[in-house]
Amino acid sequence: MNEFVETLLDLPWQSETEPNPTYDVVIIGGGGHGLATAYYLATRHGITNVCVLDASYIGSGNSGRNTTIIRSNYGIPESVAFYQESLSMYESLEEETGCWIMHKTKGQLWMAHSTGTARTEQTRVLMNNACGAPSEYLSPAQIKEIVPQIDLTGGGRYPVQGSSYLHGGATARHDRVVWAYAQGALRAGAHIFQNTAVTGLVKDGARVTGVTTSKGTISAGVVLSAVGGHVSTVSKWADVRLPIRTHTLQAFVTNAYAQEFAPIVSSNDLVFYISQTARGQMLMGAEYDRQASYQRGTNFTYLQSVSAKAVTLFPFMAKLRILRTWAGICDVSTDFSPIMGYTNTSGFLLSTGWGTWGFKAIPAAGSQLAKLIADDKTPELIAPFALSRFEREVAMADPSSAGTK
Amino acid sequence: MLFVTCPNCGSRPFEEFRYGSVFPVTPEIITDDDRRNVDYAWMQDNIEGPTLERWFHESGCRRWFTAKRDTRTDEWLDI
Amino acid sequence: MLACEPLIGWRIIADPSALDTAAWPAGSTVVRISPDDVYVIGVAEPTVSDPHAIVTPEHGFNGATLTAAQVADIAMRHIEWQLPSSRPALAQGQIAGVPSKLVLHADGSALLLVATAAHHELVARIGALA
Repeated sequence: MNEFVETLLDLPWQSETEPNPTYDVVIIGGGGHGLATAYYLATRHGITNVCVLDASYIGSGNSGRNTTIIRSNYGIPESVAFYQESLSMYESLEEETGCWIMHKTKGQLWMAHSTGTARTEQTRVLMNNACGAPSEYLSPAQIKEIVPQIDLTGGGRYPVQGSSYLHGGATARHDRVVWAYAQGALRAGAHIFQNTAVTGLVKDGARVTGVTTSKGTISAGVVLSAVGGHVSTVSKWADVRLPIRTHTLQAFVTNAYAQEFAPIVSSNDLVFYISQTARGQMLMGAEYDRQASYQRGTNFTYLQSVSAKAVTLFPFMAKLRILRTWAGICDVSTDFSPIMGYTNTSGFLLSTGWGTWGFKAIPAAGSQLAKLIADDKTPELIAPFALSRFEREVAMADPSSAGTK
Repeated sequence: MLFVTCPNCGSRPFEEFRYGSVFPVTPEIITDDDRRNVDYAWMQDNIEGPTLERWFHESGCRRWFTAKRDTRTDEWLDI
Repeated sequence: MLACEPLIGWRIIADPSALDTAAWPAGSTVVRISPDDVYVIGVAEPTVSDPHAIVTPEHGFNGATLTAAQVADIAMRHIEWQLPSSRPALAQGQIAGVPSKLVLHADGSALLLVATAAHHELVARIGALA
């Protein structure tokens, strides 16, 4: 536990210090997904007897450790529709919650450095447009106009052949998204308890009826696991087997770059993505660590390899210095698509498999899961992402859209 | 985990190695053949703790070996 | 710069016990890459007792002879891991980021082995030697 957690501040919007003995919905995990679900349950469905539990402070997990990119240019229609819904919801989130989340539409380029990848990106544009995510395919000259810093020869080895361009690609400040949902949920009557670790599930026969926590046992109508990183442990308590492996994903920022770097740039062949933060820092990420791990360490090899990729496309990066590194632990599903909804254990829902693509999905996943809990019927938008898809042999395989390998 | 010990070559920097996989184990409690197939194809133990796994010393002897690692800390353990 | 010349040798994949007991002619250099894998230079046509052994000419390595001082220099500047303290010994791993092997002789000198495809890269990265 770090210094910040030990001096953890109470949430300014909440007066309760102890959880009630019973809630309609208990949500494990106070990250974006858990809080958004509580927010939409309370604001859209009038279900306010909801409690969100976090072992540390809210947003201390992957919600505070991502690269804040919001995009919808996925490779399968169901995913495009889902992420596009999320992207649209982000655009109106400031208005809805009254909180400034520093949302900025920047456009996202997805570069191709080989003929094969160029074909993939052209296909992506056609598919995305057909599914409601406005995109176009750009020539190298058009790319240079959007991002003049680029070396179109790619250091000679990765010449830029073209790029797909998602108009709606955006970023938002991740902590502010968490706080906006927390504040909104609390104001609408939900409860949030920080520093409250869930230690197990209470079961009545095969049904999950509550959770045991460091602050005592809480009964629940339904329990939603919105855990990032330790979902396999939670699911084991509910006897649910998951197609999930947990990997470390590292990211880092440089010192401030004084000029504007307008879009979000990703590269399929180099496997990395880069954008500029509101403070001017260049924010980068790439593939997750190969070995499964629950450890949030960063290493020099990774920084070295991503820096080399960045300098290949953007020579100006060579003059910047790495300022800060961090890592999150990602639940990567075996088909690279999220898992949402009920499980074979009644009373137990999941929002997981968010791998390296969870931040952008927070509003849509939260609202759809809230709808599912309220209506007790799976909304069409997330029906393809049920855990049962693996038994039905309809995996939503989309590894090439994850922006990672 | 900055160093990995290869049984042939000794302790070498992590980047010389390629991670293979863990040993997948389908629980005995799943008895239906179709369900066992689904479990084998997709499901993961995703162990949080000591894990037996295969590693490949790519830059050295180019041989696979089995090692035990604590996934919570990335510490190497004796098998 | 290092003179890193193509080598012609033999690669033998065989039962570890057959490789343990094999007799190699005097003057040959035997590089035991792994228990079941050996690379030999300076033998006309090697034979081992394992009837299922794969014995094949190996043209995939370049080699350079290093003095003890050069070995120490390379180890200091380009090797992130510990060289074995005993001699003779074989050390395999990345040198200047390139997968390489060092056949360390009893007299302190060594034979540096690197895949032919990567030898230009290794020579360039090592640069001038002491």
